Parts: sequence; structure tokens; C-alpha cells
Amino acid sequence: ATKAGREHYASSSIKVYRKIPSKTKDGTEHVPSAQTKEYAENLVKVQMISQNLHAQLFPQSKREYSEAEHLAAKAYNAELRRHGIDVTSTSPMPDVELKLPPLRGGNIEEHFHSIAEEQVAPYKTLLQALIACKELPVKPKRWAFQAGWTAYDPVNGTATPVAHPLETGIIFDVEVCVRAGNDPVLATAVSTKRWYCWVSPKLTKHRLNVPPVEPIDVDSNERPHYTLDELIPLGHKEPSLVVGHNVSYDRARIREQYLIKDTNTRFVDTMSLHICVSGVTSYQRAMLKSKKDPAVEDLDWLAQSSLNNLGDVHRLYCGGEPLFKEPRNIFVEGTLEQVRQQFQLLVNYCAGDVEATHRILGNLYPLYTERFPHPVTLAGMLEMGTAYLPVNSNWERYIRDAQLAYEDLSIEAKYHLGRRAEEACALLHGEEYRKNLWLWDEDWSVQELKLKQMPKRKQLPTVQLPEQDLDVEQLRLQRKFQYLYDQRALLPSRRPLLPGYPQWYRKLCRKPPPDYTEDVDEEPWTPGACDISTGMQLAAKLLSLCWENYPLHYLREHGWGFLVPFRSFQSNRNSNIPIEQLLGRCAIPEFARNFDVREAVDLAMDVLPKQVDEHLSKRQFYKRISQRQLHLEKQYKGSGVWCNHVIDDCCFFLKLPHKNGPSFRVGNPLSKDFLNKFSEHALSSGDPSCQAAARVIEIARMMSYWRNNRDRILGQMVVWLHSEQLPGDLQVHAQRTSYGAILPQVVVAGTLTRRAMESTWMTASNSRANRIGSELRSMVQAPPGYKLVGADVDSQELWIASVLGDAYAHGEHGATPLGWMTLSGSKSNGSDMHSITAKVVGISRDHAKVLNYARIYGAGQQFAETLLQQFNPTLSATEAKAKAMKMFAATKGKRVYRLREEFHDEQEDKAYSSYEARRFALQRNRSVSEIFHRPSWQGGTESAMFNRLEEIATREQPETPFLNCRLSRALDSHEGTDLEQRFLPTRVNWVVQSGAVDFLHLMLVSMRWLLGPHARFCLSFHDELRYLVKDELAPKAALAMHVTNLLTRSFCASRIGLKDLPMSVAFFSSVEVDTVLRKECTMDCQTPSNPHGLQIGYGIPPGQSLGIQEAIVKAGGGDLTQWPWLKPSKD
Amino acid sequence: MRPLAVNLGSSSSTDALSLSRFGFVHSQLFRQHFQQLLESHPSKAKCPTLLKQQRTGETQHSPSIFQPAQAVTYLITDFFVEPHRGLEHFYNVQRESKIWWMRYSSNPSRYAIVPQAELEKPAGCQAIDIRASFGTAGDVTVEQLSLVQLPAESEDFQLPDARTGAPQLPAVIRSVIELEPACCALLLDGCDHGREARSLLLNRVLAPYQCAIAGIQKTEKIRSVDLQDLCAHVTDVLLRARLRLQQEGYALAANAKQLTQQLETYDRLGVPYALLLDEQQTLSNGLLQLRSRDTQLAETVHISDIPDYLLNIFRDY
Repeated sequence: ATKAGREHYASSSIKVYRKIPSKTKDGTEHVPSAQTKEYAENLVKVQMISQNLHAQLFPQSKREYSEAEHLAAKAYNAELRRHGIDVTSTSPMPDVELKLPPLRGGNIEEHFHSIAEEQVAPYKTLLQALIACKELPVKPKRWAFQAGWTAYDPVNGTATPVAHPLETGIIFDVEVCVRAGNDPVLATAVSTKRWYCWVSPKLTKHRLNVPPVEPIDVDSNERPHYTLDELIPLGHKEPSLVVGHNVSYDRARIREQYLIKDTNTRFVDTMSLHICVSGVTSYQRAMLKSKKDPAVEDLDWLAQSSLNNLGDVHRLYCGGEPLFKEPRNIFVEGTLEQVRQQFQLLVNYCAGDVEATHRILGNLYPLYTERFPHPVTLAGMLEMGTAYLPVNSNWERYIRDAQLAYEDLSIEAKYHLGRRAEEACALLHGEEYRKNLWLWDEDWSVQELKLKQMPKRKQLPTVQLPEQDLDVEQLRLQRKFQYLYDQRALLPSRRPLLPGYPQWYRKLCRKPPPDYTEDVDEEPWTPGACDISTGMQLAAKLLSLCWENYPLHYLREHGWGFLVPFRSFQSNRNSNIPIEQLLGRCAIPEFARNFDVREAVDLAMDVLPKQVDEHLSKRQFYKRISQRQLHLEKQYKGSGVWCNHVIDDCCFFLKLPHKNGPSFRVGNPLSKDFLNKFSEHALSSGDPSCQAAARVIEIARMMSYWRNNRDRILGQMVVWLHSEQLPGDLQVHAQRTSYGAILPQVVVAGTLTRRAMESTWMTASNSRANRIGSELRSMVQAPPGYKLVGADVDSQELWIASVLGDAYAHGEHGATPLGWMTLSGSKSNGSDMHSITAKVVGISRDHAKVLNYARIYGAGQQFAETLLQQFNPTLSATEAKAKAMKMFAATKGKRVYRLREEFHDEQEDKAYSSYEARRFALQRNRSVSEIFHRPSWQGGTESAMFNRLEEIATREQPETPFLNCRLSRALDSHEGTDLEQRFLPTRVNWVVQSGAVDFLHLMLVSMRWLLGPHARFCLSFHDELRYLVKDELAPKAALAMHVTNLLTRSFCASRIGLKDLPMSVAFFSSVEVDTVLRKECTMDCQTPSNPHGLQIGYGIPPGQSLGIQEAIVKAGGGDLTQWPWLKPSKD
Repeated sequence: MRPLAVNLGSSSSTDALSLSRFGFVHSQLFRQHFQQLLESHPSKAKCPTLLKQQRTGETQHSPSIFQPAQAVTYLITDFFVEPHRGLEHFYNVQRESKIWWMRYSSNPSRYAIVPQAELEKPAGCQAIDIRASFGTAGDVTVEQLSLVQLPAESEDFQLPDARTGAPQLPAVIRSVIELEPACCALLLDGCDHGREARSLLLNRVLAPYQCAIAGIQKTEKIRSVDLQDLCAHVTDVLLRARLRLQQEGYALAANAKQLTQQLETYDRLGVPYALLLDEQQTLSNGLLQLRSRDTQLAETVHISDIPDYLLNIFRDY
């Protein structure tokens, strides 16, 4: 500890012996602190936050238990034991001592309310002024065609050039001429005082004095490079507010937003407000888009919602005439010249959108404040709208390297395929192709080159041959064969390509140039199969791919599948299937023996026992699977999908499994989703000599990421800063490196659950060794002198879900099995949730983790079956079903129905299964809900959680448990339980995910409170948070992150009635202090496009990962009240 | 692709230092070459620039099936690049070189960049080998690339920056190819293709004989003078177009069996294409067959398209 730290610790009875948290794992040198006065544990022996923290965060509540509480604890402790949990199996963590700045208000809940109010206050004032302004200033009759900002006098319409809008609250809309680039061409804005219009110098043809950004060594013709001079200045150092529809698009074109220092401008997005109030599920969105007449049951929510575009949103909240959106096409498809010509019309159109946005705001904002009452929600959304990603010249290098690596590999794959194609050509000799299991159904027809008839009377024109420099003999021969050259005139005018080669091969080749010239044209011709790629159907055939050792086959209606023989001869003489060769490779499998299509149904009927067990009848009840399919499915142990297709009466065609389920067809076996199967030997090459197949598949796997993301990445609008636009201490670095930024176009509440949405950065996966370009995130790099500080909230959604269950069931942290596992389970002794599921189901821990999350997100048993089969393609449907059932019984528990009181005389009052309940209801000819109460879950580790989630989700007006945020109107129930039932999984999922959004907003508010203007928000990605801070403040920022976690979790616990917090979740397991954006600060991000890794290839050293104890030491002690900007003011 | 500044020609050297992987910058020869650049090519003496030389000397590798015991020929290329972008250039050169080898291979996946981690490197130096792998038979290094820093204390190695003109001490990227083992690797590459046919799959651009000519007689007995003349004429046409043909020019086949044997011989010699002149057909209408070693199929072409069609095929990009 530093000196300051020691002074602080002097009053404490414990000492921090260990600085590195990883050492806790060996446990040997651990100092049990159970005796110290800082240590606390609850009734299920979960260690709670240290006494000093509890006293600061929950000053009113005492850590004492009543008799009744002790009694109750006996019961739930017994339940924990029943699930195999040993509450004494944990070892304590070292206590933490911090001096937090005093809470605002009486408790943690009041604290957050008051700091959020304070943070949003200046913006709320500006916003309310705009809303209060019912009549906007009068729009000018004519707009001045003048570069830069022009202000218009509200009375006489006089146009005055200004540097930027004079007021700090504006409604704003930018237009871009898409075909001329990403930079803005014009913009309009209105304040409560007057109108403004901004015109790009590009439009008025003012010469832009833009010096090139020197050190980037990239041809700017390739991709445009933007500088601040092309963007719209808004000025302002004091808090200012911009309102727009999908405002992040407009923000990305505002000049000051790209500067490293934040300008205190905040953005209110009417689209996000709309999604909060009236967002829809993906299913509903599809309905909104469809032109069909809606069903009666959909009318309710249709009237409460709309698609997200300005026109539809305006119609929903303001009604009246639809917006005139016609001129928009000029911006989308037109040229700059067309924009110039229609300038007045287009500015009026843009201003029209500003007016529409103002009307929407006026009607929508009151709905929003009513449904989202907590100030943290707005504060969080404002903060989320300021995302900022610093980049430097490495961005260009990354793109170049990824493109090159991609090209290199695609050439390599193409080359292998070309070779295979050439080799396959030889099968034409003696019609050998008829015996080839993959190529038999290709088009092997051959075209001949024939000369036309010799004209009878006329003579052929003479072809001129050069005679210079020829000796006598050469000349003699040339003249002798002149008649052959002359027959050139008889060649067909359209020469066939490669006469003598099979049709399928010819399709891969290009026509040669008619003659030879020395100079190379742009795209030189090469002989051979140059138009071949891994995306073609032929590729899989050329590589002789097999699934479970059966040859792949393509059918248009089913996509890719494979052939399984069931008969050793072809009754059909016309069949082309090389059945002999097929049998030579794979014998008729057991399940297909004795199979005859015509007798199939009879056979199946015989085999099926007359007395079907309950399980089967249940399946029939729900799924109505054909008996024949059932029979085959039982017999066939592989993962192919039976699709009832027989080819030429000798083979079954089974579809390849698709990750989205059996009804989907696989379009390309070399596509991304399939490639992981290759390692499991389900997909392999049937030709052992074909090493190319393994390599091509490997290459396809490497290329998939870049292929899928390239356009989005290349389309990022990077704005480069001139050295004078950088802070002074950075300017020296600007001679060799360029600095710039990307403003990710985040929709701050983009989904029903109010999660933020953005198409590139929020979906960016972590770097993977075999994915080109997957080092994307690490290309966000802090400029010299700055650090990126951030953390991932440890199992955020799991904790939210489990703490809700704990609070609801027993009012104690860790009192339910799920809660205990989340808080105290550990991976090392196999007592965490994923290990336990893995044990129960008999799968790996990693697979169990996916399944666990799927379940908590609301996925059902059927989805789990699909996942299980995906993890292990050799698992049969029946086995998968059994495993999934076992898992659900152990975790979610059984769904039980209790009779409504009025039926107690008729039937025994006990827990009924859903099958029994349905049967009983069917007998009575009534609906299940008429006879039974809403079902509940029982007996599983997660039953309490699901009961709690469903309890919230089925309420009339569901609200998130932390910030009381309402569910979208589109999912609100309107008289009757129909919607409630229909959208139950969505609503359950919403409780957790929307709760997680509350959590994130709380963290943002807390960070702003702790660090003020000293940290710039960069990006948040679900449970991840990153800030840009100056080097010297990085350790303090890391500690602030830890404290933020503590405060946020305390707030959440407090909101649901728990006045304490477990130590294990109080702090981040680590906060990363790093120079680049990456999952872990030691990740070197080696990929095929970054083969040397970040450290060697880019010279980027690993960052630091700070646990709470380390963060305290590095930040100079745990007394936050000593931080200059947090020092209590005198008044 | 990369503008050559000076070709320093060929020399034979016994100076081990001038061939040392990182130490060559301290050798007298290197200093000499640098002076030569400054004095005889002042306009090219800017950063980045490139020097080439050929050298004979003892091999640095222990003998193996790829490695001749006697002296080898070194092809040495030195790139002088801006010091702060040394690494970046180094990676680009690696990639370009690897692609070059891959382009001429029957199996491009056999080439790999192998970092020389075990070498003791002076500060700021990097080294990789480009290796061709022949499965269990082993690997052969076809090219060595090293990034080396020039001795900082010396001002003799200053070069002006091509853009700004500011003098700077460049970084050197050296490529060393030992020609004999590299050729051996290319030859073996043509054999190691896993096909049933016993062809030598040399890249068509590298093949010593690019095309062969075979005449097919109508009858076994009579040798046709006209067919011979036509073969001689086509041979002449191809030679005049500077295509590489066998010394003996053309072969005649009296029957199908002889033709098959002849084609197999061509395949084993690695001749990528054979023109088949049929006495019956070609002599009457000028249509001939262009048979490919790689597909084992023949396409029909007209005599008037010769030699342009072949020249297009053999164009080296």
C-alpha cells in the first residue's frame, strides 16, 4: 500500500496481504477473516460486503436476524442441501475498506435519484423549453444558398450568416447525398427563437481548403477520408441539447463530436423514445411490414405501435396528413447537381422533418416520462448517445491487411478448387464420371468445333501471313499450308469455348482474348477454371464432401443433404445414381435394410406397439409427427434431417442439419455455421487423397468473418483530425501517426428491451485465431497519453435473474439454489451453475453455459434439444430430448397446475402436470385457465426465479424491478389474457434484459458522478463499459469502476428489498486498464490478418487488469473523498 | 512491383560476415555496395530503394535432400525503407514473397512463413523463413527474410526520404534465396501432387518445355510427308513466337498406343500442353487438338489461332 493507503488502513484491524486476486485460487495462504470485525455472512453463509461498506451504503439497516428469520432459514438451507449444495464449502474473501463520498439523500435509492436529477437537469430544462414551445418560429420563405450556417429572423425572415446556432437547444436534421459520400450536404435546425440552415461548401462549390491528412498512406480514391472541415459545427462549451429522429446519424456529422474532449452536447433521439414507449418484437415488426389485413387479435397492439421511421412514428403520435417523403429519393439516388437544382424544395423537406420531429417530441415525451419515471433512465440514455471510438493510422493498416489476407486466402482456395476441377475433367474418358459419387449429376455434355460448308463457287478470302524474315524452307511450308489458314473464314462467328471439355467445366472458364498483344489489359485472362469459388455448389462436389461418411448431394427443394442407400439395385433403369459405388463406400445401414417405400406405412404400423406410452401420445398430442418418420428417426442415429425424400427408389435423401432447425435448408456446406462440424468429423472429404478439402474448409472458415462484416467495416465513417485539432501534448505524435475517431451510430434504445443497437461495434465478436479481421475491436486505440478503462459486469443477467428469485422467495441473498450457485458457486470446485448443469445432463461445461443462458433468456425445451444436437451431431433426436427434459426438470423444475377452488369438490387438490391439466380441461370441454390457476414451477434450482419473472411478466402493467420502467405499449395487455399468454416468453425475457439495461444506466450515472468530466464514455456493449481517460487518472477511473459496481448492485438489491450485498458481486472481478478495446488486456488478437499479434505486429503492449485491492493501491488509497473533484464543498 | 535501384551484378565472396543473417550490415562488402549506390545512382539513392546482387558461396544449411553440398548461388535483395515503418514493410515483403512462391506451386498450401524465434536477434531485428513443406520428407527453406537495423553510430548510411528529403538512417530488409535448393524445391513441388497420373505438374510459366507437337498418322505403314511438313511448320511457328519446345521438335505416332505413350512421356517431362495434328483432319481443315497435361482433355483449336492462343496461355503476370 502507498503511504496514504497505510494511514487509511491504520484504523482497520485487517491488512491486505495479497495484491493479486488470482492467488486466491490456491487458497493456501488465505487468511480467514471470519473473526475480524469487518467480516459478515448471512444465513446461508454467503459472505457479505465488509462492515464499513454496509454502514456507508445501508446506514438504516442493522445486520441482525429475528427468530422467525432463523427459522425460515432452516427450511431453505434444507432445500439447498437437497440440491447438493454445501453452504460451508466456500472460503472467505479479503475485506475491502473504502471511504466513499457521502451519499446524496438518506439512502442509496435517494442517492441515485438525486445525482441523476442533477446530471439531467440542464438538458431537461432545454428539452422542456422545446416542448413548451407549441408554435415554432415562422419558417423563412426562401433559404439562402450560402455555405455554412445561416440564421433566419423569425419576424422578417432576414438571413444572417452565423458560426453556429445561437441557442443551446435545437431540433436538428441532416441530409446526406448518399452517392456523393457520407458527409453532410445540408442541415436545418430550429430553436425556440429561430430557424437555421447549414449548407455544405461542397454544395455551393466553395473551394474547401482541406490540406490532406499527411501520414495516412492510403489512396483516398479507394475509400473517402473525412476531415472536420466537411462537418457541421455546433460550437458550445456549455451544456446543449440536440433533438432528432435517429439522432446518432446526425451526430456523426457534427464537427465537435470528433474532438477528443467532450463538448457537453447531449442528444435526444425521438426514435429511441418511441421504441421505449411503443417498441415491438421482431414478430410484430414483420406483421407491421406485411401488407395483409391484420387478424382481430392483433388490432389492439397495432393501434399502439408503428415501425421506427419518422413517417410512421409521426402518424402514430400526431396523426393527420402523412409526411411528404418524396424528395428523400433525391438524397438517396440523386447527384449533388440535382440537390443544387432543387435546393429550395429539399431544404423545405429537411425543415419539414424537423417540424415533424418537434411535433412527435411534444406528444411522445410526456408518455415517456410517465412510463419511465426515474431520472436515471434519461440520464443513461443521454450518456449512451455520446459513444466515441478513437482510432489512428492502424485502422487503415488493419483494413489493408485484412483485405490482403482475404484475397490471398481466396486465391489459395480458388487455386485448390481449380486443380480439383482440372483433375475431375479426366473422368470424361470412358464416361468414368458415371461412377463418381459427387459428379455424376453434373452436365458432362461436350460441344464440338465444326467448320461451315466450303462454298461451292466462291473462293475463300486469303489470310495474310507475314513473310518477312522467313528463310526459303519456312516460306515453302507456310505457302504449302496457306489453304488451311484460309479456312478460318469457315469458323463459326461465335466460337464455342473449350470445345471438347464438359459443360460444367466450361462454365468455370472465360473466353480468351481474340489475339495476343504484348501489353497487359486491366484484368488479364488466364486459362483454366478461374470463375470458381467456395460459394459454388460445385465446390462441395469437387472436394468430395461427405456427411457421416455419406456423399453430399444437392436438391433444389431441400438444399444440401446426403445420400443413404437402402437397396442394392435400381429397379428404375433410368436412374443415374452410381449405386454400386455408393454401396462400395457405405453399406446399407441397419435402419434402411428391408425398407421399401410403398410398404413403409404398413411396416411402421406393425412395428409400433399398439399401446402407446404416455410419452409418445404426448408427442402426438403436441407435434403430430408422422409415424413413419418417427420410426426412421428412432432407427437412424445420425444428425441428418429426414425429409421424406427417396431418390430413384434406391436412396434416401437426408438434409444436412441447419442451426435454425429442421425446416431450414442448408445452402452451402462450406458456410460459416457448418464449418465447426468439420472438426467433429461429421463433414469430411470422401477422398482421402484430397488434402485440399481440409485446407479449403479451413480457408472458408478463416474468410467467413471478413466476408460477413467487410462492408460494414469499410463503411465506417472515420473522421481524421489535423494536428492543430488535437490536444497540445498529442500534436508531436501527429507527424507520424494520424488520429481520428469513429462515432458508432448507436440507437440508444433500439430494441423492445431498450438495449442499445448498432450494427458494427455492438455485434463485433472477440478476436479469434482463425478469423480474418476479427481483431476489429482492438483497432479502437487510445491516443498516446490516454487509456481505455472498463470492465465487463460479471454474469450480469444471471445475477439479476437470481437475485429477483432470492428476494421473492426468501428475502435473503443466495437463499435459492440458483442464487447460491451464482454468488458462491465456483468453477474450481464444480459448484457453479454451469458445472452443475453439465454434471446433470452429461455435457461439457461450455455447452452447459450456453444452455443455461438460453433457458434464462426464455428459450424452451425444444430449443435446448436443437442446441444439444448442434453441439453433438451424432446425438439422436430422442437422446437430445431426454437430455433436455432432464435438464429442465433439474433447473426450471416441473410446471404444476393447481385447481381453482370451485373444482375442489370434483377433483383432488394436488399439483397437476400440464398434460394432466390439458386432458382434464378437454374432458370438461373448457379451457385450462378456467379450471386451473396460473401454473407455477416447482422443485428445480431455478423455480423461484421463474415464478418471480412470470409473476412480473404477467402483471397488468409489467415494470422493471429496479427503475420501474414500463413494458412497451405494444405488449401491454388490453383486457383479457390473450396477449399475455402469447408474448409470455418475450415478457419474461424482457424482465431480465430490460433490468440489465437499468443496471447499465445506473452504472453510467454513477461513473459520471464519480469522475465528472474526467472520463469520456466510449462504448457500452450489453454488460460491458469502456471509458477514455487520461493516463494519470486511469487508476482512479479503475477504482471508480469498482465503486460503480458496488453502488449499482447495492441500489438494485435495495430496490427489491434486500438491504445488503454479497461480497462476491460487490466489485468487478477485474477492471481493464488498456490502450485498445479488447476483451482481456492480455489478449494478443492474433488472426490471419494480424499474424504477429498486437504486441509484435503493432507494438501494442498488454494492458493491466486490476482487481479491487490492486485498484485501491494504484489509485493511491481507498479514500474517494480525497479526489479533488469529489472533495466535499464547504457549503 | 518494386522499383529496382541498382543491380550490382554477381560476385563470389568468401566473407562470412557479408552473408551473416543480421551481421551483414557491418561487412565491408555491404558498405561498398552502399557507396556504389550513392556514387553511381544518386537519383535512386533515396529511401525507399532496393539493391540486388548475386553471390556464390558455401551454403549456410546442413546438407539434406534439398541441399547440395557444394557452393550455392545466392540471390540477395536489400530493401532500404523508412525506419519507423520497417516492421510494416517487413510484413508486406513477407506476404508478397510468400505469394510469389505460392503462385508457381502445384500446392500453394505447402508454403509457410516460419518466424525464426530461436535466433538471437539484435535489437529491432526480425527474421522469418519461407518454407516449403513436403510432408514427411521434410521442409526446405526457399527464402530468408530479415529486418535489420543499420549501425546507428555511422552516418555513412544516411539516405534522404523520397518524400520529404530529410536524411534518415533506413532500416534494411534483406531477402536471401539459395537458388539451387529453391529450384530443387520447385521441381519436387511438381511431383508431389497426390494424383494418380504420373505427371510433373510444373507451373506452365516455369516449365522448360511449354508445348510439344505430335502428329497422328492415318495408317501405321505410310509416313506422310504432308503431315511431317505440317508438324515442321507448326514447330516453326511456335519457335518464332518464342515458345519453349523440345530440341527434336515434334514426334509422330502411328497408332493410338504410340500416341498414349508419347503423351505420358510429355506428362512426365512436365510439358503442360501438346498440340495434336491429325493427318486426316488437320491436313484437310486446319483443326488441331490442344491437349492439356492437367485436365488430360483436348480442346479443338484452329491453326489460324496458333500461336496467339498459346501466347495468351503462357503470359506471365
